[in-house]
Amino acid sequence: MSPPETADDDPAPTPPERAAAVSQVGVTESPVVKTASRTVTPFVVAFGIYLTLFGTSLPGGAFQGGVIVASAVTLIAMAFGFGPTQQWLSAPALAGLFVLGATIFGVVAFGALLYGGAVLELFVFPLSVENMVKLVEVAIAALVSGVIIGLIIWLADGFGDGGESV
Amino acid sequence: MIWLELGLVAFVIIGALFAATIRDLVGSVVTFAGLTLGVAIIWVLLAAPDVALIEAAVGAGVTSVLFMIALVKTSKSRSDSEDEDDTERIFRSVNLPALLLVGGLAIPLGYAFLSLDPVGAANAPAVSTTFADGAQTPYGYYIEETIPETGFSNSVVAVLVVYRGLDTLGELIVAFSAAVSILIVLERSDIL
Repeated sequence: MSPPETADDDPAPTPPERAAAVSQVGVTESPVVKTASRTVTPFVVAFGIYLTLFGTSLPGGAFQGGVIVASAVTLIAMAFGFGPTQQWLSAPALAGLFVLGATIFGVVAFGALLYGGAVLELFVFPLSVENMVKLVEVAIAALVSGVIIGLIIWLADGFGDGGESV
Repeated sequence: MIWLELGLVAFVIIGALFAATIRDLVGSVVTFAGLTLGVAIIWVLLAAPDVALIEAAVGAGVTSVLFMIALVKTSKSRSDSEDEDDTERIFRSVNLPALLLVGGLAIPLGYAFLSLDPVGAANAPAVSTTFADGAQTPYGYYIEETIPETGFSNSVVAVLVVYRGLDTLGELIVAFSAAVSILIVLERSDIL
């Protein structure tokens, strides 16, 4: 918890200084924390993708999978700092992730009209309903993980004055 | 098994009291994350692994990180509250009217909880497959028709995506609007 205390030393940090302090949150000198989070993250991401793709037959689903992928990125951000993580993740790609998810879901929802079904009627597509649900699940997971990663990373960065990392 | 569940419930309640009364806000956030993991284990014991996954990932993980970010961003007000008399250094004093209000809400809720049917009871209203007049309930439809209609063995996903897809679309619209609003509020709309 040393980074918040260093922020406390300054009686009245100006907004850029406070943004700089926030981007230092989670920067730890501990090699144990860095190595552990670096080792665990691929497995957590794989678990999230597994939950998303096999939600039709196993406990889990797209919301769980997307949130778990986002929590893996959050773990990296806590261990290596929000600033470096934000430089590592391209912001347009992150925004593209949830825009893509929303687009796929919207196309599937209203594409059913073209096949003569009602909105979101997944039984009318030429693909099997299981494949359609997996497509929708991937879209939901992309949207959820993109929104949560963006929420945390952009909120940690603060207002537009911290735009140097974009 | 009942002792494990009672122990977890006691852990969650004591953790909630600590999280509400502890003076150090970082300690409060950590306590909150810990008690949320207890809630997640309770969901597993109640045979709701889907909810447990969400509870662990969102409640313990993402929410705690958001609280920590908020704490760091408002650290000035936190240092102001630290230089009070050190008789109550660890716990903050309890606001009596608020305590009465919360207790007055919790006791009827707990009483209502005692009147619920046991978990898995066949005649519980929430899990009965037929109404009193013999008609099929929505729950009965999802339980009996999910596997023949879709082939999914996880009927939660079938309900979320196939049968109640409009609700899921609404949820995603809310999440999407939240992300877009954050970009606008933070003056970062150049990303989009």
